[in-house]
Amino acid sequence: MVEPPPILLKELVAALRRNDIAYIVVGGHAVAEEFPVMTQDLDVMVALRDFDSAVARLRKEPMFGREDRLAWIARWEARSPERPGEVADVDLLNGRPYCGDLTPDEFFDYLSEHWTTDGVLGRTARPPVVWYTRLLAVGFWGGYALKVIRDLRAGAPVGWLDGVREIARRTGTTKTINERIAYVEDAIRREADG
Amino acid sequence: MLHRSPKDRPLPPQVFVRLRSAPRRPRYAYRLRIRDPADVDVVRRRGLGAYLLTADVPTRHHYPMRFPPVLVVDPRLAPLLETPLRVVPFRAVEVLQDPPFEALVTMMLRVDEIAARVMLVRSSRIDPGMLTRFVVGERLERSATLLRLQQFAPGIPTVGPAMPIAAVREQDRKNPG
Repeated sequence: MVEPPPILLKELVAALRRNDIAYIVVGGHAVAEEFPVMTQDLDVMVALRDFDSAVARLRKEPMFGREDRLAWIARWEARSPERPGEVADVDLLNGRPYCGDLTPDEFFDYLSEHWTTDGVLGRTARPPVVWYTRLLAVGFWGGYALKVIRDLRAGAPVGWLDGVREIARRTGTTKTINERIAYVEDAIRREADG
Repeated sequence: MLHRSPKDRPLPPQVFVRLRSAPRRPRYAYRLRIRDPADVDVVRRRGLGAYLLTADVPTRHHYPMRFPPVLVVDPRLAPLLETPLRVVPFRAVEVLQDPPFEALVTMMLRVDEIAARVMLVRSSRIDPGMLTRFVVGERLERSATLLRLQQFAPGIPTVGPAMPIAAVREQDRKNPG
């Protein structure tokens, strides 16, 4: 059963909706729709065509504080207006690092059409999308692969990796994804062997 | 296998499942059936080495997260268990009744290495010697090195590669709590 989200997350999602931002929840909250492993950060993806305007609108929201911005991500430290002690990071991503042979917008539309469900925080990616984006993370992907390993250790279905491979086939990133899945599987195998 | 004499105090049969004893053997053999946190309490009250590691631990130490509870046990008990929980052996059985912060961090290395590191980053008091002792005792030097825990306990031997500093710093900042 999916637990109700903390009030702060509801407030953040309300801000996204108030600003008419078409988003997909990715990251741990998307995994938690199907398996209870997550941290508190909120990661959402938007189409590249909507990215700049979404950033501009969210910047005006009082909850959204300190901002870091790169071509593929805007990150805020968000604080509840009612309960200033409650804080969470919000990452607004576009599809640039993950889209492979597709355009970022084609990638977003592909996910929307084939890999999302209605979750407690709105339109939500299926867990294979989250693992796929973690394995293609910008910078040191191995750090994000640890999160895939963590989920598998906790009992998340290994079959989700088939979904990762399917997304990779669509985006033409199969070679890279297969190498990284092999890294994850090797780590899990080593742990099982003690 | 756990053994008890017929003269010993009776055990809760729903947790301590008595096996059929061999003819003319003076002791009973048991398995442990642990289905939920209450069963873990029953086992702990009998002084056996078991600790239920839950998401409250990292959350209380400023890394809010959620994961299914993990049963951390004396390695000698592991083969006796019937449980749906994930079982993790912990050799420093003497701390399982009341694990200090450094033991909790070490247990977390088997659950979520990043969480384990960030618990240290956000803690004001760490005993480096104790952390080293637990990490080495549990043979987790490789995980500790990957997350650069030598920053907190220089005595941990370096085994295998370490994450780039920038990647570690990025994880240190994420998931504030």
